[in-house]
Amino acid sequence: MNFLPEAYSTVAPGISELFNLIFGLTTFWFIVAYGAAFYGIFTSLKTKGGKAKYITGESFSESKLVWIVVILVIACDFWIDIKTAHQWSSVEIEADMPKGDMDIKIVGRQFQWEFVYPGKDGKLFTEDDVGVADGNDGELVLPIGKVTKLHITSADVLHAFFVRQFGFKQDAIPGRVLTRWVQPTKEGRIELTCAEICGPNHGTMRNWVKIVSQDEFDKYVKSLNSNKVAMLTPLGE
Amino acid sequence: MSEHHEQSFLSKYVFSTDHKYIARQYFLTGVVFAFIGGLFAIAFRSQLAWPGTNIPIIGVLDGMKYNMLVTNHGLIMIFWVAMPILLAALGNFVIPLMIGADDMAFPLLNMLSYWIFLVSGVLLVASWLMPGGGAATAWTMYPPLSATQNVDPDAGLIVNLLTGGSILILAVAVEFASMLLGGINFVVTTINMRAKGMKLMDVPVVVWMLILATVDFMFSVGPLIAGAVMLLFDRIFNTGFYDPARGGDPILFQHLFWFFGHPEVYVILLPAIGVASEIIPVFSRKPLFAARWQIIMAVSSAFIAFIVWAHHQFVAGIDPRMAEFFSVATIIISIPFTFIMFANIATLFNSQIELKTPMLWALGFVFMFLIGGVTGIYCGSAGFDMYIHDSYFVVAHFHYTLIPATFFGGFAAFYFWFPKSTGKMLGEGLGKLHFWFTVIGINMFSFPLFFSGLYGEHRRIFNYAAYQPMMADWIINIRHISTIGAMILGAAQLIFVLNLIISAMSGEKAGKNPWKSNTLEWAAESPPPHGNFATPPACYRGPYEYSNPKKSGSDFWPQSEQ
Repeated sequence: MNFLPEAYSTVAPGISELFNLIFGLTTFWFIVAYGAAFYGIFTSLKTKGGKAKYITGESFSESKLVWIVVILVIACDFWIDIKTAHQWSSVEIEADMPKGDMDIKIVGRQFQWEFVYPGKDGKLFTEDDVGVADGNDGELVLPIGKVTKLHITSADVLHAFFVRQFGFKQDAIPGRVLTRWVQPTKEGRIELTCAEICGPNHGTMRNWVKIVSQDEFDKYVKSLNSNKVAMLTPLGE
Repeated sequence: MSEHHEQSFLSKYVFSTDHKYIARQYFLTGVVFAFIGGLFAIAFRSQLAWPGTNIPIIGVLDGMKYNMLVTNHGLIMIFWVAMPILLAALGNFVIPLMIGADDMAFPLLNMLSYWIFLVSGVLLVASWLMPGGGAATAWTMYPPLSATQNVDPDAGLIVNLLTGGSILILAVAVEFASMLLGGINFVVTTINMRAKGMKLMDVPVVVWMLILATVDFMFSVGPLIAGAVMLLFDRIFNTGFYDPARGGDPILFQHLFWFFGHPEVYVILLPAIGVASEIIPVFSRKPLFAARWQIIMAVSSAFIAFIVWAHHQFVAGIDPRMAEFFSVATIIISIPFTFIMFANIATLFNSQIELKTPMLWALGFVFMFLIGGVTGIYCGSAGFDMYIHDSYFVVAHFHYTLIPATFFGGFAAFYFWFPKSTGKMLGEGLGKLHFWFTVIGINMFSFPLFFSGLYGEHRRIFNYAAYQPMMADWIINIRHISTIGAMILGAAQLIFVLNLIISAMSGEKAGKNPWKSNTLEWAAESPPPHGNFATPPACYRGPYEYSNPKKSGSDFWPQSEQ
């Protein structure tokens, strides 16, 4: 049973594993609680002349079962915490990120995504960077198998970079550039959406991610270079 | 103490200083807003299920109208339904009665708090009528969107003040002022006016929970008011607190908002838990299991509630190392609630359960809240949250916490204390019908959303036509089921209204203590007169002495009985 979308990145399978762990543990406790509650109710329905047992639960001998449950739940909590930390730090914490093969800047703007690639010098944040701002048809082109650092920011209000198949989202914030990374594992063309309300057309703020081979990617960047910036609107900071 | 004088209609029902009538005023205002908020939800869910539907009065929803409805649905349900019903109405009614006081410590302040609350409600409605329409920034009001929507920096102060967003901020701020006044009353009354002999541990759990909720509210609301004032200044004085181009920071607002916003969840949840813990022993004729420990656990959760706020901001660009701490704290807060839930379940064992309507609602709260509780673990795990954040999974999760708290907790309390408040019984049959349809409604509405959320359906989208994966047949079916569920949930509440009308016309007389309960309020007449008790009651024991073998003749032992 898997409702998560197909994985297109190296971190997405981790989401799936984390889901399975949390699903297993919480479902177990859920069944225990429901089972106990239903058992308690159906074995204790009012009978004629019946009397309830006077148990206050204040002494440890009476409440030990509840305490055992609590201690086991604490253990499960820490299990989830450890797995969570692993998944989280691999995506978010700079020291734990893999070394990047390339950098792309991503800018959210009401109501489209814009992308900035390194120019001829191969370095982002220099004079010759080339940008793509093509309304909602604009594509974020990524080479398969390469670790791409995504430098996410916004030109106006909050947005959130979200590609379901990559397994994470990141808010785009004006005035800040946040670095996340992705290593695509599958070629294809998938939706890039905005997941933070950004105004009346938030619902149509959809662009594309196109994952291609390295050759195609090189060709694409070269074409951007020779056309000298396919910008339709000026890019934000 | 007990002045039984006749009051004029105006001073009894309108400008009342009697805590019981102020409770009714809060409750009725809350119910009116609940219907408005519910209709908003049904309107925008209809747009989701059947895009392009022509909705009566509002018309076909575009992105702006959709956002406006979503925004105001959230705000109404939290601030103008859950708060007035669970905190203000419930607290006002039960606190003085359960501790054996004749009224609140400051009756006039109490009246003031209601009227200020009413002003805030009027402001909220007014905000929808401003040029440009109501705020459409989601209930969290994140700047820069909320600082700039419908704002023209070149226009004057008045023009920018008379916009949906600005009036909304005023409404929220006024509402908090009202709840603060009410909160002062709750705390002072409980500390100073307890019946003779009532020690702190003899105070019923529901009063404890109300006080904890109030204290959480009072400690957390300051930062939000500061944040809201800065937001208002950004809108009307053209300041730049949240504008990065002028040295401001939009994330600052999120911290101020959620430092309040998360404790707020417990402000709503704790009273509901208290109601369940209060009602379950009465209808199982057995002491509340580990009552002291339940209180201790609730106190600890009220503390932990202050160090989990940033779990709403995992993907908002906070320092990722800090997020790990908040993730651990969030998952740890499951511990006190695990204890309370299992202790309530333990109360049921070896008891004598009567499934009367208040008991059904209380048990319904436990069962439904458990779903919200376990799914909270998914959301609290930062590593998983970066995938499901802002998705329908989160929507389903918090509806499984807030609907059980507000509606199941609220109705449990209502069905339980209605005979005391009015002297009449509510119909059991209609009450049960109301309960079961509400159960069907909430589950049909919320449960399917877990699946579409896991698939990656993100929220606050008025039309998914641009996202083909979200137009798959099974997801469209989920939208239909969920929307119909929301309609059933709404329609079920009409049964409640019908039950009220029938009870008002031909309700059975309740008598002093129809549920054979121990707590002090049942020693007063039903309904209690102005001043509550004929003679001030004294308290001789704890509130949960059911089926005590030392007591011969009956299976309960009222606190006031010598």
